[in-house]
Amino acid sequence: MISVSTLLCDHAADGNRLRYDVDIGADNPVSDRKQRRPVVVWNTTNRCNLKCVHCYAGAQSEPKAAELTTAEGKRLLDDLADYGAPVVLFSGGEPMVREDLAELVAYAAEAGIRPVLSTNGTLLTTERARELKEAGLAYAGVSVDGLAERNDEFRGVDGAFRAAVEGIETCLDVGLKTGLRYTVTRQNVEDLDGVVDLLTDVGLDRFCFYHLSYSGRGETLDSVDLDADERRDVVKRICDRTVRSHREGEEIETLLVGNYADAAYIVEYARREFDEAAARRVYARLARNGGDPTGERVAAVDCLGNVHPTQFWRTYSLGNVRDRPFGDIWEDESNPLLRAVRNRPENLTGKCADCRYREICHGGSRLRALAADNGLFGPDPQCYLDADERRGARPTADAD
Amino acid sequence: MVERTERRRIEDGDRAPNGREWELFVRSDGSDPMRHVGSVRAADAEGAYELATRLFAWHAEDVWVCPSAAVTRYTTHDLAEDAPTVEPSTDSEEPRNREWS
Ligand code: SF4
Repeated sequence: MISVSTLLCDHAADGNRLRYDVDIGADNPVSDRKQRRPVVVWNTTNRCNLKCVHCYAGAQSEPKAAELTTAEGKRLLDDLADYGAPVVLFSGGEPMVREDLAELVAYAAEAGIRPVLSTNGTLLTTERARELKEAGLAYAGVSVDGLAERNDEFRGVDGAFRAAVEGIETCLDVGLKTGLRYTVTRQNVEDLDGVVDLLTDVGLDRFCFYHLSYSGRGETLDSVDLDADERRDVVKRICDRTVRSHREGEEIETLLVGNYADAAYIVEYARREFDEAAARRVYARLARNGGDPTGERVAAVDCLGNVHPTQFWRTYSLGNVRDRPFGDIWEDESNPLLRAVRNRPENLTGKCADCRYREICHGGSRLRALAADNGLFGPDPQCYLDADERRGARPTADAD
Repeated sequence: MVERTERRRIEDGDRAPNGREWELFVRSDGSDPMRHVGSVRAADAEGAYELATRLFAWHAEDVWVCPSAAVTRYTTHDLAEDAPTVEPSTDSEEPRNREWS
């Protein structure tokens, strides 16, 4: 997750300011420990009320018998709190179909984990939004993937767009911090500005743009994925829009998710649009944050308790929380894959091996590299940097 | 006298929300023991092996796959037991990783 607004506009959003601040945590071992623990995405259920074509979870309308129960979920949250996980992201399927969601959110908040939610927004009634807010929910990310017609086609249900926008309005009404999740594809790239305009009008100020991951149903979707030029163009548009809105005094927060070539691109953007000192500052902040977080700063637990290196890597599991506590699984570097994934800059091959941005990118997504038959440590096919950008002198990380 | 360790049997059941789950074991080289390295999700043993080799071929000499549902597990860890009380964090103002939030 790369905060464009923080990097390019010094937007002091909660969390981001801290995440990118190179000074904080250096002399505080407890803080540093927390900082290194992963955000845990808990796919609480595989059930969903929609049928999105790009769903990474391959969600279904029927319940899966052995989903973690409420009691097991609480025990998992205890394990996560013991381990020091800073954030738990309740996801799915559609987490709102779980009737114990508010109970679990409250439990996480009481245990000292920041609870956040990823939802399609269509079940966010005033009553449930208020219940979640009172339970301590810190943030709701609501997915919208195009204007009405396109979104509903994507989501497989008529009226899903209207319901999601109403869900966003409801969250804002009850005072819940809310943001957009938009997965950019060739099919909806033209709607992006329209969706941001519309949601800005309803009062939203946080926009997260996701690159397509290759897992779940998305795996069959590489024909709708953007090519390198299209990707560069949309990322540039997002950067331009962010900078422009800040210049006009509109403090929107924009984030890019799922493709760390964006980190490299933003350094290049800062050099081109501002100057070398700005590029070095941006690089230093990104270096503090690290590159693609797979197996390091993000973890996932699926609805049956399997622990994955990211929520998108569904075909491989490190272990199951019904067998061992989460922390034991996550710390077990006797697993050679986990160890190697955590040392990616040393293991990368192909054009990533000598890319000057490998420390802030980590070669992008391992899943997409595997899907493209580039090998476990090969380049992410979604990388859109050109050879000159990759080969220049490495910016220094100590510019601050 | 050594005290007997108390373990419980984990309920058998499907471990894959979609498809089938296969436990994965690899041996790095001849004299090493087989090591459990997680599980993969695939329709059959061939698919599981294929996936396993893409993840571990660079490391492993031997690769075994076993249907997850065929493993009966006994453990001292009990996810379903009553959750103990956890002290709330006292360091909520410290810098935190906000990835995905
Ligand atoms: S070449 Fe590799 S390391 Fe460099 S930006 Fe692209 S994906 Fe990242």
